[in-house]
Order: sequence, then C-alpha cells, then structure tokens
Amino acid sequence: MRKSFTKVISFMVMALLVVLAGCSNDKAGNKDGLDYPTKPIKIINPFSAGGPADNTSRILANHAKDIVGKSLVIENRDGGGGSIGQTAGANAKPDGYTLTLITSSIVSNPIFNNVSYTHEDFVPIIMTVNDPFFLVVGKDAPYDDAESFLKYAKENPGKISVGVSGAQTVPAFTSKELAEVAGIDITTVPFDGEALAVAAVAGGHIDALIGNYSGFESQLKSGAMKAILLFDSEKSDLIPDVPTASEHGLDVVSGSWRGFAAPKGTDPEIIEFLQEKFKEIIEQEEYQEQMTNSGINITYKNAEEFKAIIEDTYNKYMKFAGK
Amino acid sequence: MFRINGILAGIFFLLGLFAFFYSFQFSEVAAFWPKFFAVVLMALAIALIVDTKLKPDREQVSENTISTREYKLLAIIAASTVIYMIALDLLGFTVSSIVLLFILFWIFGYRQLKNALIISIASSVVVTVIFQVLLNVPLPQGLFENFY
Amino acid sequence: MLEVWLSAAGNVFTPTNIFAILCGVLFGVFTGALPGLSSTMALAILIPFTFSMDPATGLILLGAVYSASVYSGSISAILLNTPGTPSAAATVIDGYEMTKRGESAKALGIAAIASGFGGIVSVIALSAFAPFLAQQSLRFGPPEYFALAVFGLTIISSLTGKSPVKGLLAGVFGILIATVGMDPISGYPRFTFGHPALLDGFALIPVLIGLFSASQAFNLMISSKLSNDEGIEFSQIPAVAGKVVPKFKELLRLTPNMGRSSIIGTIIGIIPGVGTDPAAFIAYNEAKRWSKDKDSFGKGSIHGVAAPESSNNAVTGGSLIPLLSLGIPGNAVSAVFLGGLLIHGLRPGAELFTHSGDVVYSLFFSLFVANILIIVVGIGGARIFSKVLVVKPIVLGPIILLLSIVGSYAIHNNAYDIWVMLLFGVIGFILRRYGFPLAPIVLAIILGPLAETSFNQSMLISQDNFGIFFNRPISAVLLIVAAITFVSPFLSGVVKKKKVA
Repeated sequence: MRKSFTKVISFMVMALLVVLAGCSNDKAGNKDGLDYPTKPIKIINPFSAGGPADNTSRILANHAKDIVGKSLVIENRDGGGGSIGQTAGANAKPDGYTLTLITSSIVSNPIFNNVSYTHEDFVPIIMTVNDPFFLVVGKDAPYDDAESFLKYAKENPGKISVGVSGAQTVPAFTSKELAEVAGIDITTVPFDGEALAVAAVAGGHIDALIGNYSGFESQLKSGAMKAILLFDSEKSDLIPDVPTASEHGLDVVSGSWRGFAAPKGTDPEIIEFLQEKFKEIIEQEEYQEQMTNSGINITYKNAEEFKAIIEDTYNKYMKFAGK
Repeated sequence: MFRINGILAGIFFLLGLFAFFYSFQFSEVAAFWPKFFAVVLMALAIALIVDTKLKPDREQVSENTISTREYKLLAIIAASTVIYMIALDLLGFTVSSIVLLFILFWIFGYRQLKNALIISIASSVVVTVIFQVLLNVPLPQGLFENFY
Repeated sequence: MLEVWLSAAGNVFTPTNIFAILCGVLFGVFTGALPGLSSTMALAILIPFTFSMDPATGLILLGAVYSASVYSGSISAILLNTPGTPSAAATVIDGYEMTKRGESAKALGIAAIASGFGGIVSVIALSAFAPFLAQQSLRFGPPEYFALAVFGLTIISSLTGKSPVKGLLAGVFGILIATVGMDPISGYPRFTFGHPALLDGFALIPVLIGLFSASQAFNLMISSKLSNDEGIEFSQIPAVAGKVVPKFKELLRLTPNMGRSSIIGTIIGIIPGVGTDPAAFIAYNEAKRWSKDKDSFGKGSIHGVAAPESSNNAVTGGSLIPLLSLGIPGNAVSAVFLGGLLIHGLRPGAELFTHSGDVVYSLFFSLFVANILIIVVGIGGARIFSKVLVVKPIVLGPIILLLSIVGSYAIHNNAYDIWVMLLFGVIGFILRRYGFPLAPIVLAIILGPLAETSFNQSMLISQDNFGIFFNRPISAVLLIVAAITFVSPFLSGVVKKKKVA
C-alpha cells in the first residue's frame, strides 16, 4: 500500500515536471532573436469600465489579436484616483506581458499623493490619444466668445463658475492656469466626472466648463452650449471654428493624453515591437472609425515624442505643486 | 445591556474624538465635513449612554451579548482568511480556496471527510471557472500560472 | 406612432433579438445575484461582444442585462440576508424577515413582480416623455442635489430598529467612513495614513459585502458550531412553503405602493448621478410613511419588499432618459451603455430619436419584453433559488465567505479590497449582534459624499451664501420634506405613548 502510494506520488511529480518543461519549451522556439509574445498580454487600466479611457484600451484590444499575434486582455484596476492600477503596473514583471494604460495621472499622483512610483517607472510605448480641452459656456451666458468671456471675467471677479471633472484633474489645473495667464478670477467647481459638470452647465447652474469634446458633444449639437476656446496648439478637426487659446494671446495648452507603457526595465526590443504593432493597429480604418464614433481624438506619437510630452506634463504640475 | 452599550458608546466616542483632532491637519474645506460629523458622533455616543440609563429595557434583549467563545471563533475565521490571502499569491486562487473551505468545514464541525472534501473542491473549481473563464476576471494563479 | 412601435416589435421579435433578450436576462440575473458582481461589471464584460453585433441587438442585450441585474440583487437579499447589488440593500430589511417566517417563495415572487412593474413604468416614461423629462432633470443643480441627499439621509431615522440612537450612530458612522479618501473639492487625502489604496476611500461594494455577506457567513459558521457543541438551539430557517405568486387581492393592495415607488424610481433615475441605491431607500421610506400599518415594516412586510424593488428597477428606464436625449450618463452603468451606443456611431440627443428611431424604439420595446421576462424568470425560478435554504448553515457559511472574497476581489481585481471586506465583515458581525441596524451605514456611505460635494459646490457657486438652498423652490421643498421625515418617527413614538397613557 505504502509502496504504491509512493509510486503514485513520484508519477505525479514526474508528470508535473514534464508539463512544466513543456511550458518552458514553448518559449524556446524563436525567430529574429525576439520570442514575443507567446501568451496574451495584459493591459492594466487603472480606471473603471466605461468612459473614454476604458474605450481607448478596449478598442485597441479589439483589433490586436491579428496584428500582435496574441490577444490583449484589459484588466480594470480602478481605485485611488488611478494609483492602485498604476502601482501594480509599475511593479509588474518587466517581461512585456503587463502593460499599463497611462494618462497624465501617472504624473500627478506621485506629485500630490504618497505613492510608491513615479512617472519614470514607466517606459512609454506609444501615445494613441490626445483629447484637447475646450472651454464651453451655456447658451444663456452673457458672453458668447472668448473675448467677451475674458472681459466679463475681468469686470466680475469670482462670478464665473467653471465646472471641471474633479479635484486635482487636468481640467482643474487648466482652469487655474487659464485664470493665471489671463489675469482673471474665476471659480473652479469640481464635479464627480465631466457628465455631471455638463448637466450643471446645461441647466444653467454653473456658467462654463472645461472638458473633452466627447462629454459635451450632444449639448453642442443641440445648441445648448457653445465652445469658445480650445486649449491646443492647432485648431480641432471636430469643431474648426473654435479659436485656440494662443490666438487670444493666452499660452495654455492642455489635453488628456493617453497611451500605453511598460514597466521600467522592459527589453527595448519589446518596446519597439509593440510600438510598431500598435501603430499598425491605429492605422486600421475600422479602429479609426470606432474611435471617432466614440468622440475620441486619435493622435499618434512615438515612444520618444511621448516621453517628451510626459516630461512636459511633469514640469507643468510641479509648477502648481509648489503653490 | 448597560455595560455593553457603555463600551460601544465609548468606542464610538473615541472614534469621533480621533476623527475630530486628526481633521485639524486637513485643508480647511476638507476638514469641515469630518469635523462636523465627528462632533455629532460624540454627541450620539453620549446620548446612547443617557438613553440606556433612562430606558434600560428598550431593546428587551439580553441574549445578544457576544460570548468570549464567539469572539474566539470570529478570530479564527478572520485569521484563516488572512492566512488565505497570504497564500493566495503562492498557491493561486483555486488551491487556496479548497484549503480554506476544507479547514473551515473541519473547524466549525462539518466532519464528514469525503463530503467536505468534495464540496471544497467542487465549489472552488466552479467559482474559478465562473470568474476566470466565463467572466474574464483574472484571479491570482500563483505557481500554477501556466495551467489555465 | 403606432407604425414606429409595430416596426420596433417586428425588430424585436426576431429569433436573434429574442435570444439576445433571453441571454441578457439570464446573465443579468446570474451576475446580479452574486454579491460583488455589479450591473456595471456585467455590462462591461459584455461590451466587447456587442462590437461585432448589429447595433440594435447589442443595445437590446445590454438593456436586458441592466434590468435583470438590478432585479436579481433581491434574490440573495431575500434568501441569504446579503444584497447581491447595493440597490438591494433596502430589500434585505423586510425580505429576509419574510424568509425567516418561511415565506421566501412569496418574497421572491413579489420582488420579481415589483421589479418588472417598476421597469415597465419607467420604460413607459422613457418612451413617452423622454425629451420633456430630460429637460426637467437639468433643473437639478448642486443645491438641489444637496437637498436631495439630506432628504435621503433623514430616512435613517425611520430605519433605526429598536433603539433610535443606535440607528443614528450607525448612520453618522457611515458618513465618517465615507470621508476617507480625497476630499471632493480640494483633493486633500483624508484619513489615508499615507496609503495610496485609501485615496478613493473604501469602495462601496467591498464594504457592503463585508457588512452583509461576510458577517452573515460568520454568523452561520459560529452559530452552527455553538449549536453543535453546546446544544444551543438557534432559530432555524423554515423550509420553503407557500405560493410564489401572491393572491390577487394582495397584488391589488400592492399596486398603489408599486405605482408610487416606480414613479419615485423613475424620477430619481432621471437625475444624473443619484442612482438605484438611494431610490430604493426613498421608496421604502415613502411606502412606510403612507402605510396604515407602519409597525409591520422591518418585520417582513410585503410592502417593504415591493417598494424598493419597484423603485430600483424604475431607475433603469429613468437613467436612460438623460443618456439618450442629452448624452449625459448619470451613473457608471449609463457610462458603459453610452460606450455601447457610440461605438456604433449612435449619437445621443434629439437626433437619435429621429435619425435612428428604429434602433431606439427597438430598444424600448425590448425593455418591455425583458421586464416581462424578469417576472417570468423570477417566478419560475423562485423555488429553485429557494433550494439554497436547504443547504446546512455550516456548509453555506464558508461558501458565502468564499463568494465574498472573490466578489470583493473581482470588483477592482485587487486583493486590497478583500482586506476591506474582512474588516467590515467583523465590524458588521459585532454591530449586528449588538442591535445596530446596517442599512443606515450603507445609505450614509452612498449619500454622505453626494451631500458633501454638492454642499461645497453650492458654497462655491453662491460665494458662501446659504440662501442658495432656500430661495430655489426644489431645494427648499426637499429640505422641508427632509425635516419632516427626520422628526416624524420620533414624534409618532411620543404621540403613541401619550395615547397609551
């Protein structure tokens, strides 16, 4: 009895070893020196399901299988203003199988909160989205372009309330930056997400909001709101008649950029591989159609350019952190 | 009941006191809300003592005191769950769950060895399949990462 | 108009779409009944599958899942004393009491009928008055939200159980719990003790699972151990008896209540950012307020089950109103739903009803069908669901604990939430045993942040003028109702005593 038991155990151990060996053999067959990917790649999305950030990753993943070779699996790890998912992403094994959807919050979280990573713990792969912010006002407001807005704000300090999608979000900083650059006094009112700020402007409870096009598109089309200023370096294809801030002598450029990154220490060849493949995806017609349908502005930047943008965001935030 | 309500009121009062003083380091707008309700909590804690003194028979229950034995059992469950969570990264979800269920069955008096084992394995596997496979929730897999 | 509906019916009654509704309802019932799998998650899981579907079919599927998952939270609430979704937290109060009396089948039947009823009322509102109601929803600004949240919070005074002070303590405890994390206005991290995981505070679902499910699991295990060892008899849950479908007379008596609750639910649903959970509590409170037999609430009243269930399902249709006509998603579920619309190039707004009328009216019609199917599945499945009561407590306890663990983990794919669940499991067990009601904690965690945010927003907008709450009609009225709601349970106690004396 005892003997047969030992036999069974040793057989099971052998079987286990064979299986494990089989798994590792799987990884051996390579071409061009890079054997990647051999299994599905996980993308951590530090925000909840639904909304533009989630769509950014899901639409990409939807087209990935044929191009990358393996599927991309989206894992929503929201919480802590993105810091929970970002912590997991920064600490993941740098083997190219765990990527993170990154937004400007990978820069702001380390500055304003006590987290264990910084933006330098991520290696940018590709930026796929840059949604510039607009200044939008209600249709009954006593101003209907940037000039009259600024004039009104100067004459009525603190009277104009500008809704933003939350405390310490990019629009909130943009509102403060606008006030500083234009020398005006406006009241920034944080809401729980852009949708509620849009509802408040549509109902006339606040005067304006700073947000992404996808959030207020319906209101714009119905004429309930009017976009008067764009915080970008060039005009938007979506609504070309909105002037940029620089046309009014205001040097404010702000948008919510999104892209993908790997943990620090990932093989540069893998980064390059992913950048090429992801670029191929975003050049697909169907991808572009789905993104545009979702009201998301496609912007491609390669790893180098993306890195510069992240640094730029960092410098901007540091300016506010000091105050 | 008076003694227990006294202790509970004390705990709530201390909680309120802590929240009140801890809030002083917050920014002004952030501090208002917790300070206000910390004071309300302390007031209600005092009210609970007064109320119990005035109407000791309000709740008409005497048997709902938790015995030391129950606290011990509660601690056992909590401790098993903590150990389970530590084991999670190593053994993965399925194996840890089987062990947790079996141990809890055993400790809490379900001692039909075969049934306990079958139920532990079956429910852990079913939960794994539902979450991991059907719902695409990536459960921790520990050492067995390449198995499914 | 008739033509539109006929063509919508034609679109819905195709094998594919009927199959989509059926799958959606079953999937929704399944995910909603499991603690930890919320409606949002159920929809998020399905979204990628709808990419490749016909737009109408995709939306029909999502609509069915949404409605069914909001309903089925009541199944675990009634049978296991643990709400499957936060919106069923109010259903626990009377639902589980009915189960203890052996009326689980009837409670499940009423929950299904009330849910379907609420869903259908809201779909009628949605298809008949969407543009008008959407405009009304915009009348809610920060002061109105504040007044509504205060009104919701005052309901705590009628959820108190035997000791009013304990109920209030539980509520204020909940408000303080909700202050953990970044404050909504300045982003200051409160009570986080340097832990980034606490920046968003305690997530509602792990707290809820801990307070209700885990504490119930602890209770089952501990009491069966004690009864085993010491022969202490604990009250047994009677096996299922009685009919699932209530008597016609009972249904007739429930109708005014279900009607009122459905209207409340629809209105709450229209207001962006409030959602199913407060709607259920407000409907419960109103059912109690207008009932002749107030004392039966909390002791297994059928009205106490019907009210929250009609109301939370009425939110589903209501929340689609601002979404479809204004493009404003009022809650997480609507945000996911919006994603499903946009991906097919369907733009919310007045144009949606004219340009893509066929898709929209097919969706509406499918929601009717889905809600009827909910009633059928709910009544048909009641006896099967009730089988869970046959399972011995010692077996059920650990399994509920396992589901609590995996449910809290799944919500954010994060082990940290298991700790939260465990902490609140212990707190819930102790509080429950010492006569503290748990519903006020849940209500306070949901409404506390809404009240704080909207209070501060109002102060910013009015430049620190409190008058903003009183010189706007909606908020003034709501605040007066709140004051009445808060005081009346205490006053009625005094009056009753005087009468007895």
